[in-house]
Amino acid sequence: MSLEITHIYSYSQLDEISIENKNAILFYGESLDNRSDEVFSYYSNIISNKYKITYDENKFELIINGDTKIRHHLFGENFIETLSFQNYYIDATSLGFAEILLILHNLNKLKSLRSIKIVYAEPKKYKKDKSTPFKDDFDLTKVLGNFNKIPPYLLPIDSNSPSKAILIPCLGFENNRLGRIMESDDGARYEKYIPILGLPAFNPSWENISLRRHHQELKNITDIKFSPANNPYETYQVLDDIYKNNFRKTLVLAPIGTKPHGIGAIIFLINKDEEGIKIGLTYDFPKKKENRTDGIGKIYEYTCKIIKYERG
Amino acid sequence: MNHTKLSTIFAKNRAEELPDDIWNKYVLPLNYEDANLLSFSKSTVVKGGRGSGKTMFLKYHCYPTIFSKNKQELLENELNNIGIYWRPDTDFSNMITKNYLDENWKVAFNAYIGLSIFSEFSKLITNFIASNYKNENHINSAKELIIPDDFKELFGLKDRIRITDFDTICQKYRSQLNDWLNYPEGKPPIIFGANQKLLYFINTVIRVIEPFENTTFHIFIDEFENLAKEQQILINSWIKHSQSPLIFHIAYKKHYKVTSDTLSNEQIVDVNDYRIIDLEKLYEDNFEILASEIILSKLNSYFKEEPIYNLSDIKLIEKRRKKLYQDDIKNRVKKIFPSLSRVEIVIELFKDKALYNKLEKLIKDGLNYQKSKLDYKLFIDLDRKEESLINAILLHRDKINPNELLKNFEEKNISYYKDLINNNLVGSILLIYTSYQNKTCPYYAGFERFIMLSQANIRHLLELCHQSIIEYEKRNNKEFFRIKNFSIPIEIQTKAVRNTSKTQIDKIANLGKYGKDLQKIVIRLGKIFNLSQKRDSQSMAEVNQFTLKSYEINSSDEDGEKLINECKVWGILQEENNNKQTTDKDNARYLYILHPIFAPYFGISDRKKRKIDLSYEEFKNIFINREEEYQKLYDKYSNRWSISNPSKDSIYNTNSLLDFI
Repeated sequence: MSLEITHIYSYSQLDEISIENKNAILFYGESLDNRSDEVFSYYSNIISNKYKITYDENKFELIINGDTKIRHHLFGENFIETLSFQNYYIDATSLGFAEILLILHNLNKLKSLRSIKIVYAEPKKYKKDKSTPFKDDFDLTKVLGNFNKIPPYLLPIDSNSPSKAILIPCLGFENNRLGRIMESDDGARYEKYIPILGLPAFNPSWENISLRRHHQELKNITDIKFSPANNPYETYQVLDDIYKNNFRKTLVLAPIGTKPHGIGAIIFLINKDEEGIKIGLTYDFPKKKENRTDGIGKIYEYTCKIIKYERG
Repeated sequence: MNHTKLSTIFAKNRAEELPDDIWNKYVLPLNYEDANLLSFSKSTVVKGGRGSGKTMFLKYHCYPTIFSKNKQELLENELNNIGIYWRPDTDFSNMITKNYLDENWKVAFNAYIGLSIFSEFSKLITNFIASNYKNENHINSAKELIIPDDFKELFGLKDRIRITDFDTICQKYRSQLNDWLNYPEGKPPIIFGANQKLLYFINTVIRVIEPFENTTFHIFIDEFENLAKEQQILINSWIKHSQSPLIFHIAYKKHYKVTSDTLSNEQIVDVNDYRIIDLEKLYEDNFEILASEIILSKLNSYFKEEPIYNLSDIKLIEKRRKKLYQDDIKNRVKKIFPSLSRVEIVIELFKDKALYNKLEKLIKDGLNYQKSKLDYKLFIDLDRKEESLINAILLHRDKINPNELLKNFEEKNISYYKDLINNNLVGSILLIYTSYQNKTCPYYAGFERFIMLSQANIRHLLELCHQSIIEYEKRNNKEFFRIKNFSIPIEIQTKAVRNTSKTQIDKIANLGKYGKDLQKIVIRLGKIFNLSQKRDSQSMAEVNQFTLKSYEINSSDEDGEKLINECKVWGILQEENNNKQTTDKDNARYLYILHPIFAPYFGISDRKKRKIDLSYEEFKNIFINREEEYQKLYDKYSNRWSISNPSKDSIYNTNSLLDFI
């Protein structure tokens, strides 16, 4: 089985979105700002079956509605597979990368065909941080976490591995997220970096902020790829191209850019895993700041379908 | 004609980017005999800061270097001690913990480490066979080595296989272990005690053949600090009982707090169970020589010049201790990175109109401050520039009488000025330069300064060279580069030093989880020191250190202790015992020095000179509190020190791109 993005719908207002309320279920996450509040309130008014999902990266377990805890490898069997709905809505505005990955990973294992809609609302603007001496700092993250792996997407690369890997980071505003990987790696695991920049960005010129902030990290990198910041389909295609052009190389994704880039990376990871191809993943679990964004920008609905994977 | 850029030779300053075989590339420190990892019958703990060359040092002792094909001959006695390097994937090993696997963590971790090291043994034999070892019989016996019978069962093999093919089997099991960790139900795919099985393997397989019959194998585990506590405890237990033929060694960042617990009630104890090698201390004494050799060996490799000695060869260390040789290499590097003497710097300062104007203004302001009607020109003598410069700052001191000063100046009182020049000249030069943001002081140029700025940190040293050569390449055609006349002008060096300093500040954000906090601390401290450097009187010249007034940071102040320790771990602050109590009330135990690599960006001194005492509140305003609180502190100091031109731009610009244009 594999996942495919079939449509991307764009809206300027939430109430333009029509939601199928029959046989529908909503997965949502921790709300941190008014755009996630608004998305949740709009969807939850129509969809009565809803589950709040959070992932504890230190205990490797998922927490459902704040109380039920399930180990990651039982999340499919003991939760997703027990649900019997036709329309799955995933609120990517509030859900984190790991939660979306594990929800989609397990939905993809379901035998019957489902409709999956992923909703994501862009922020109108990100807030600047006034508490530090840095001129162009955005106030996005409280503290960065450890670079934990997310099972079942483990892939060790150590001094004993047959070869080094290529790291593919998606670039956001916070250059120290990539800088940290480079600094701690120190050339031990990654022989090459192929970053993906969100172009066009959510707003014109935001790509310049991203580029400028990554000036130091990108100094010796010659191969940069581009994908629209709001388009997981394109991101998937870019990743697939990188994969095809680096046949037999080990790839590791670092989804530290926009959420739509992260969704593209998730679908790529899931599909390659289904094909028996191991792609590595590294993620730093930032503790996001509350009210880090202001307002709600464009809203996207990414429609996915699960297609039966034919082994060639 | 070399088609690569010269600067790229210096860009590769990270050990891991170099191959595992570093014979001919690694420069052995002159006091290496005390630090030879293979000469000790117990474990060693290798400590070193970021950029201290830890990985290179470990790899020098490992089989790819020992069996290097670049060696003319591999001698029999070199087989007595052989190292194996292992750096775990720490994100991955973080999964092999109690937290994720409950009690299964131990068998899984044993499997992970055991399979990795078995695989290395397989590669070790393959490398030995390919080496320049002359005894054909020994090589043939290594080719015939096969795994023991019971390994056949353990690894589910039909037949016994050669050790050289064992690597593939280990990789297969590593992959299966990975699959199991993704869905950790039941038991791991393979279970064995790593330490016991490795010992058994060494004794019954490897040591059976003649070349290895007396060999001790040394396992070097790098990045030990990033392993989980229970994993550290397990390895500590192996260290406790390490002896020939299998000894475990560990390496970690200096100041990192790792556990010394073992699986039993005992702890591992320094001297009894292991010895410590502090790499920075090892380099410190002879760093100027080491640095000269590293720089010259890089240049030689680019210009394809024959080096004087093979710097990796322990037999040649004695020759490298000769004064004649050392003077020669130091002079050669000093020619490449020339410096100006202080007198010459002052001459340059007088030549620069803007700087000279600043000097005049300083004297005029000083006379105003003293309410003196004397003509400012009387305090300047172009034949006695250093004294004139000293006059400018003295006129801002309360205890100075302008008439008496003028008398000493006119009488050319050498003894009056001697100590004043010694103690204040550098501060005065920096003071004049801090008035102009776009002028970088030539004081920071030259090989001796590079040594001072890098503080036995090889990465900083190479970055200073790298940036200097980049700037040089921008202005010169590389076709004309010759090692004989290669010399980088002062103004190029000073620009490069500032770039390096700024880049290092930018990179602090990448250092660990609290990188952004550390970066903030450096900028805030740097700005306070810069403010002090702008004091017209220079009565407290060259401040770049601080102590904590009447209190100590301890575990009751969690954030403070954590941040101070992170600063030490990442080499941002150096902690020393406070031996220079300024007053009776100064009972601070420790002195904290901002790493000199940041000094050029803030226009402050790189020398260990003076300190300020911070109250607890001030410490918090610099280390923890919001920008508003810090700004109040900055303004307070600015007023207290009567700074006429505090930094207008109170905000640090992380936009390196524009900063460097």
